[in-house]
Amino acid sequence: MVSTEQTGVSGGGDPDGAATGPDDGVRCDAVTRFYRSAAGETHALRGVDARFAAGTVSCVVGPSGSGKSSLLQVLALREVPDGGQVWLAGEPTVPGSTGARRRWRRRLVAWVPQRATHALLPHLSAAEHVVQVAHLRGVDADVRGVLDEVGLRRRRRSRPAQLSGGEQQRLAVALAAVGDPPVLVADEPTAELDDEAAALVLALLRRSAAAGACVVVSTHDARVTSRSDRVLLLRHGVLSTDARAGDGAEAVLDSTGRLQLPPEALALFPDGRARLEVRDDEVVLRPPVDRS
Amino acid sequence: MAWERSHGIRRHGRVPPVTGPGPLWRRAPLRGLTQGAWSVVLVGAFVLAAVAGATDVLSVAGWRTAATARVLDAVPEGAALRLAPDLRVGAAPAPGPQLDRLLEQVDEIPGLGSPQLLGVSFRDELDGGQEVRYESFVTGGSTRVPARLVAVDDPAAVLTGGARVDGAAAGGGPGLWLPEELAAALDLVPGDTVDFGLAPSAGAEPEQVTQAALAGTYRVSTDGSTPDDVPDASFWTTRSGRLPGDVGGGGSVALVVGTPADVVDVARASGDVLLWNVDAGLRPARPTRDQLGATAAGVAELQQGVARDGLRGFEDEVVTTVVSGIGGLAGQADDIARRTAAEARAPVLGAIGLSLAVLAAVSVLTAARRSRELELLAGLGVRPPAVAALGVVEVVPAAVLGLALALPVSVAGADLLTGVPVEGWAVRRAVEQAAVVLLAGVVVHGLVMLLTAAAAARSGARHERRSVSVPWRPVLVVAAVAAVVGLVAAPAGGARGLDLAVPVLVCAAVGAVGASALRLIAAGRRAGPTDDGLTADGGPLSAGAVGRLVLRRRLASGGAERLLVVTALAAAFGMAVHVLAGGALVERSVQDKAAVIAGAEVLVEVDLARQLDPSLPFTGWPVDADVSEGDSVVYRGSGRLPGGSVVDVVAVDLTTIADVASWGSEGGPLERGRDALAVLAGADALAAPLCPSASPREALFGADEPEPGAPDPPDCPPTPDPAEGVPLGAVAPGAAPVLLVGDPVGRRVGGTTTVTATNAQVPVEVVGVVPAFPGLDPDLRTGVVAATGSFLPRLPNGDPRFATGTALEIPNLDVESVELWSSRPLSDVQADLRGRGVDESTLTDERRTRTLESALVRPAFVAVALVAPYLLALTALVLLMAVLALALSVDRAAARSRAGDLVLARMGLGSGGPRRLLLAEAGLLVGAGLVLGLLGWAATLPLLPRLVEPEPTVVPPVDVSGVLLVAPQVLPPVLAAVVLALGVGAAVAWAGSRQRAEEEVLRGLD
Repeated sequence: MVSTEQTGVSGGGDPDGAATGPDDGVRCDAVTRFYRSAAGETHALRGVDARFAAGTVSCVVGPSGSGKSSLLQVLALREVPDGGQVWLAGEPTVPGSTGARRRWRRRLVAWVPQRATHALLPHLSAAEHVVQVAHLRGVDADVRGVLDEVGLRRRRRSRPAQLSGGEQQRLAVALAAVGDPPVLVADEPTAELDDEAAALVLALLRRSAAAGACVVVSTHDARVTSRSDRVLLLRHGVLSTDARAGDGAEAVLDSTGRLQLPPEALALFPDGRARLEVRDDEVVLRPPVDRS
Repeated sequence: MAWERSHGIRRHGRVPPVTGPGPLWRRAPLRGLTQGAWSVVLVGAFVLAAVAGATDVLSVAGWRTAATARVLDAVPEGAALRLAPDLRVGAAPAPGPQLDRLLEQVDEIPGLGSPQLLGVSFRDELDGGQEVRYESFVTGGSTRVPARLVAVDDPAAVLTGGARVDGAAAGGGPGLWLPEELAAALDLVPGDTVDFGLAPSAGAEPEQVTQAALAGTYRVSTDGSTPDDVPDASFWTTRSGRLPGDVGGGGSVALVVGTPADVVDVARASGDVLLWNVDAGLRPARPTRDQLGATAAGVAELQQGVARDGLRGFEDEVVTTVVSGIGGLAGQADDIARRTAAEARAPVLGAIGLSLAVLAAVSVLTAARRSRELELLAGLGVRPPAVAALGVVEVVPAAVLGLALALPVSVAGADLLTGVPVEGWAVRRAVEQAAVVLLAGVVVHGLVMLLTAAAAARSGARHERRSVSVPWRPVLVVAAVAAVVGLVAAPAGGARGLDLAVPVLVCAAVGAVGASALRLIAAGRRAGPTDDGLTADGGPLSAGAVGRLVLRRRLASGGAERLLVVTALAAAFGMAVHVLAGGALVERSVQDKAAVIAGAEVLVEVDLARQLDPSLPFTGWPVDADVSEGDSVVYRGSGRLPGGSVVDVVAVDLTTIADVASWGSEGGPLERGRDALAVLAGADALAAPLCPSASPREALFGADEPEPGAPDPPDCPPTPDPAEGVPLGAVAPGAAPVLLVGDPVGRRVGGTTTVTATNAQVPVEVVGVVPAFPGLDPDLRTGVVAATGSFLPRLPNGDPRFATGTALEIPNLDVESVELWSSRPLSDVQADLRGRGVDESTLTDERRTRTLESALVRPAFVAVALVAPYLLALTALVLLMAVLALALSVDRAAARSRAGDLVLARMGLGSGGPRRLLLAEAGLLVGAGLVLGLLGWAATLPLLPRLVEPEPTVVPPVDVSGVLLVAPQVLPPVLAAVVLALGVGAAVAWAGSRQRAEEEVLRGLD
């Protein structure tokens, strides 16, 4: 974990959101999400409680199928959770009308998909993308400045098909930051980038956070997690641990009292049973006594 | 929201605010035209829709004009005035103010050429009778030749083409024109004086004789009287039946031609009177239907005006009449055009619906291609109506371009389909209708984009969207079955409207079911010994075996898209075969039916054979009329078979009828009648002839002696004694051999029966049964064909060849009419018969002089002929769409398998392996479509007569057995379509399998 001091970029608020007030950032309360298919139901999120503060960069990590993408889709208001609530700047978004969600997405929430091609329109040039996104967000845009920031000033007339994969990803992130939306959600934005391009993207994300945005990133990339303010681990659709910059990892208890143990701790309980001892200021878990 | 308000951050400095439409809107108008191959597809779909929309109007207009042309073309030269595309004001006032006003009125009728005056000698017709026959004549020296006056506006122009050859050489000036031979016989040359007189009877002294100059001479046509037309003109031909004839009944008379002024002078001086006619013909000769309608309206107005004014010629003795066939022809053209439009209504609407369906499909595919884009726009908060509006803005230029491209294509197509140029008003209306169809297409596109964008915007449902599986195959099968049942259950009367969709539905259903079965078969074979990628002994598969394995797996897991392509190909190929084969069969059927209606190229009905051959001697035995080569005499009557069914009975001359009658299509059902004539001839030769005494001539005419010089009577061999046995093939003694036509109940070859004629029975023996025979009443559907030699003498009331009176004049005459059937042109027949003294009214009466050409212009026949090219074009359109579907499918298959192909190529299949797989896949789809389409068409074969029958009330019905005969007309276009489909499939597969940069493939840049 790298602290904000180490990155040289100042975060705008307390990572857990306590210092930013109830109306800042994004908050999930017991969010559940499941998908139906011919094979049955898949539970992607099983009651996730989390708060993402404005001015911070939070990473969501976890193995494949742990629910990362689902959580990001919910945070970006691209999907409606099947249960729970998502608060955006203190306002509930569930159920929320389609029109309201569309307006929020248009003005408040930026989304960077895993594949940059999914964030770009094939018939617009890089500069036109910037103008279009600014137009939709109702803000002015310094096209050259935006493109300069991600090293694409000389490619401003290029269309997506004429850009390399790294250039496309940089452009996608730059577009997400246009107009400084208060929430910026990115799904593995550095997965296909070299170090130099990843550094540019990360710098842009940190700059957005510094401008007050709540930045949530799904990643497997250590380059990202090492420069984030907070790392949340998802396992089996449940938030497992929550690690802050310069602090140790904390296990997460959800609102129903569930707790996920890290693997090394779980290995102490091969029978899946534990003896619970509650003391004055601590809780102790022991393997059950062997009665055989 | 407070947070929303607080985020007005402008990190990148102060820049001018964004105004006006964003880049999405600015780029949209050109986007539809700048997407490479997809733009071609999009514009092509709009072109198809515009063509379908425009063709409706253009075709209807073209059919009206084509029908008009067909009707006018079918009018024989010299047709009766009430049938001709001409106007005649008969018994017009004599030259003077009244005539001038009349000429002005005629001149004002739109679509008519300048009125031309025709004055003809009329004294005999006016004042003559049985005792007084006025004969006009010219004399030269001591020679006196019967001649009659004819006045035309410009004799030199219509006799010599304008050059006053002879007259000018002789000094020109006023005068009369005589036939060259007559002038030579009279020893006259232009400039000489010719005497013209009028006598109260042939050879009598003239009342008065007048003199006039001979202005020139002219050549006469083959009838010996009518002036020969100058090249490229038909002045005299079109008036051949309206010129004065020989008062002595000789048929031809010399015509003395002059200007109205000259002829009036001569007539006045000689005591002759002139009947004045005003003639006007159509200009142009091939007008459009609207032009013809305007002319008909003008003619009708003139008729009313003349009737109202009460004009009278001959000093108030004869009422002026206006006669014209223009109105009737316009009505006939309308009938044909209406019938054609009705025939084409369902295909036209089908084409429009199909083109809109194609546009909708292209829109759906466009939306599918842009699913990520739509999700991106939804993620950016763009409202679905805005997305739909963007889509509309994108396709409007494509639609406009499609309209611009479609218009010349449609006009050229309509010209080609109808064979006539398109009228201006039709083009304007076609543009309007095409624009309406395109507007509908644009709206459909907008709706598709709206629904897709709305679906993309419905957050949360993205991963749960299940592809809605429409059970189109069961629906298709049920629809096909319902259509077939509906067709079979419908009353006979030909397939109309949606019934015409039966073959397409059946072929599509067979295609869908067959494609599903083939997929199941392919899936079933997946569990074969090589399914695990190893040979039976565990070794690696060869590259070819791997390719086959991959191909089989692809086909087995094809999904709905490949099924749809095979279904579309099967429907298109099946429809192509149906339209081509059906069209060819209908064409043959029309020939057969017209032959049944007409009998021969020309059929002239007279009362007596003697009218056809005035030299026929009066004998005590029947003698056949001597007619020209190419002609045959047929005797017609009606009779009843046991059971009461009325039949048409014709007795034919077996020596000539086979060469003269029209036998319809080659190898058609009528040819069985021709073949049966040989059997009839054999039986006729063996039939016991009857001695002359057996034919009671006395019953008709009383006994009289043969004329001096009449031929000897035929031998009268003894009647075979039944006890001695009847020669093989001979008919029973006393019975006439006959062919039964149609399907008389219970009649079979070799059986004997009777034909009841008038009030007595004629025994006949059936020597053959044929489905149809030329000239037999198509409405009766059954008939009897006999030989004159063996049948007529057995008629109870006497052999009609003796008759000197008509059926009306002679009681109990068994024959109602005598007909001359001819394979010669009508004009030749008319000239021949005119020379034999057949009266003009017979030759110009459409009920008594009929032609094969006139039978062919029945509205039903013309309608199917006019619609046939349209159906072919529609079929080509359907084929094109099926090929387009194939191309899209192959392209998508290539796109889907790019990554897999890359792996296959690296794993030993070689760089060309994936391409060969795609080619094989395209070929298999086309092959499956072709086979299933043919199977579907074969399944509809029993329904074909009901589906394509052009005129159910006329025999013979469409002969499905002739389908093999039309194979040469069907196979080449179908093979061309198959080659086209294979070529397009191969080209798309080739293009789609081109190696893209591996990194692009793996990065998923699509």
